[in-house]
Amino acid sequence: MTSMHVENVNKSFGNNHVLKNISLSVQSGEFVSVLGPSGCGKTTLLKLIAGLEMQDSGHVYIGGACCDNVPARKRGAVIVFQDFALFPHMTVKQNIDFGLAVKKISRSERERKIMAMLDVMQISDKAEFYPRALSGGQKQRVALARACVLEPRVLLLDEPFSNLDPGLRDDMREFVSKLQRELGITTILVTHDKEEAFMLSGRVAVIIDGCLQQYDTPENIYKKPHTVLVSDFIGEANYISGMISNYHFSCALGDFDAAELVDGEAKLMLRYDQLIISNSKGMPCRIISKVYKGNVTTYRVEIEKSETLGLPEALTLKINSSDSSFEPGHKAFIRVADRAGHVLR
Amino acid sequence: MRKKQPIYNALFYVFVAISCAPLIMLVVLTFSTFWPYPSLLPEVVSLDYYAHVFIENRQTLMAVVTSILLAFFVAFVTLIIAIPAGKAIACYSFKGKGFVKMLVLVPLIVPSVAVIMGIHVTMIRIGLTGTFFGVALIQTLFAMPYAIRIMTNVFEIVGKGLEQQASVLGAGTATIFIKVTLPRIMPGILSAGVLSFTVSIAQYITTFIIGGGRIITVTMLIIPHIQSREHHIAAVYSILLIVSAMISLYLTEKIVRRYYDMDNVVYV
Ligand SMILES: Nc1ncnc2c1ncn2[C@@H]1O[C@H](COP(=O)(O)OP(=O)(O)OP(=O)(O)O)[C@@H](O)[C@H]1O
Ligand SMILES: [Mg+2]
Repeated sequence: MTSMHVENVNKSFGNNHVLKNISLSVQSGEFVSVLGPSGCGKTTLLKLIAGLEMQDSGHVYIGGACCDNVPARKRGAVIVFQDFALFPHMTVKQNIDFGLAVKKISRSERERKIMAMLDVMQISDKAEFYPRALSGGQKQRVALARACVLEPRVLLLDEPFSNLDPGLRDDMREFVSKLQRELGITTILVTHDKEEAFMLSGRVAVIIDGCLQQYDTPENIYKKPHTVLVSDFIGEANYISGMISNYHFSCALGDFDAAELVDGEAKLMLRYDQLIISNSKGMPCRIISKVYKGNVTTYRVEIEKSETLGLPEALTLKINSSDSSFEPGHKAFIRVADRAGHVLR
Repeated sequence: MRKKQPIYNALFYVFVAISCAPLIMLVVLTFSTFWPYPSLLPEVVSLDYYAHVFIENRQTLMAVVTSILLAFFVAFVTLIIAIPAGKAIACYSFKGKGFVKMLVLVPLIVPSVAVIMGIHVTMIRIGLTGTFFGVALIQTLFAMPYAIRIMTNVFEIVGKGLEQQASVLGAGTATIFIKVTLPRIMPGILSAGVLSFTVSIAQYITTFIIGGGRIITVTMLIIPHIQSREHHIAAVYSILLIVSAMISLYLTEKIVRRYYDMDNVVYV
């Protein structure tokens, strides 16, 4: 069981400042996701932790000890790469044995560990196969087995599911999540898929433009993003301008708590599913358009301008609802769902 | 085997025949003692030329051995240099990389006599002329561009991914090279080796000037016969050279393939 910290790490490739002052700590046995758009430096961060790249400044700690000068092979941080990087000239068994053989463990002990791991990964019947004869999901299990059999201090997963079919992806996600809980390995997963990050990990670190924007629980990242940047990356939302005074935010849709922010202009963020449309309760509005998507219908509605409500201009909002009975041009009422609404700058 | 359409099959054999024609001519030439101009086939067939080459000429066996040994040695030395050089050019970034890449090709662009003349003087001074090692060294120079080119491309294709994976799994540099890199680049090594081998086999001017007549290869024996219009004897030597080179390469690949699983390189 090992914790992992990254402290004020910077990394540039030439003029490309890829990671800017990133600090991240992961507790022992925790499953953390690093979420960010493609090219934001996620793989680079994993390589820094594993020791495959050297940071320009800052430190990496594994198990409390600084390992800036420890070579990759001694760090005990094992990456499972996006393309699985199986050794093509070795069988499944030889692949899994690779790291064990280096460790000079006795042959019988290695054999026992490999068999147990093949069993856990449900690929015992594939032991003598070469990687080219395996399906995507099987390859991934081999890659995971090869990493997990070493009982790594930190397991680093680089977009492990992006090469799999959607159906298989869900199965493998569940599999990995269960495996991680059973083995209790400190795990960092890197992905650009927010659903994946939310599904698998206890905490999510959002990196955009090389900066760590927010490190929080999935629920907080979704409902209480610190910035519009994070909020936009995570999903679509309505933003309604208003003012904070005395830790209270007020806008056309009502008053909201803003305990952590100082007075001044701010925005209320409401996800499309945090507004409720109905025939009776809330503010009157007019439906402008409707897009039917099966399980949800997205409406665009307009609240007329009204000086008394503090609306100098008409306000347009988008709403997701399971009720598809409203039609464009008709009147309806909208209200904010209970406890919804998050104020940000 | 995939089934091909008959027309492709026919085309395939036509091309094979066209490519083999000179070789067949060569073989016919070695047997034909009397072959006047208008006749389609030789009128007198004998083994006279073979007798000349194998029985009368005492140098033949020694020349074959020298040629093959020299070619193996050149291939070996070339690879020892080309593997790390290819790795460096493909995987590391350093100042003047483009220039180095071009510099490697220079021996192919500059006329070989010019290159040899320059080096000849130095070789005389350090006593390398007329030695096996001296000739091998100069031939290595001409094999190097091909070998480095191939190894660079191979390392570019193979990439760093597997080596990085091996190192996070705990392997050291030597283990990674032997267990991961070498098996991956083996086809490239064989190609580069085969090419260096053939470059060495075909060298004439270099062997002539640096060898100073003391290092006799089969090619050295062929040229004088061509100059004195004894094509039949030159043809026998050529066949001998081709056969011995093919056997050497075939055996080498057989041996390598016992240890490394890969697709054929030399033969199909
Ligand atoms: N070895 C390198 N040399 C130069 N630039 C590099 C190198 N490795 C990465 N980069 C650059 O650093 C940036 C981040 O790369 P990285 O691979 O970490 O992104 P990523 O977040 O993993 O992207 P993806 O989601 O597409 O995998 C990219 O702009 C990339 O071009
Ligand atoms: Mg990546």
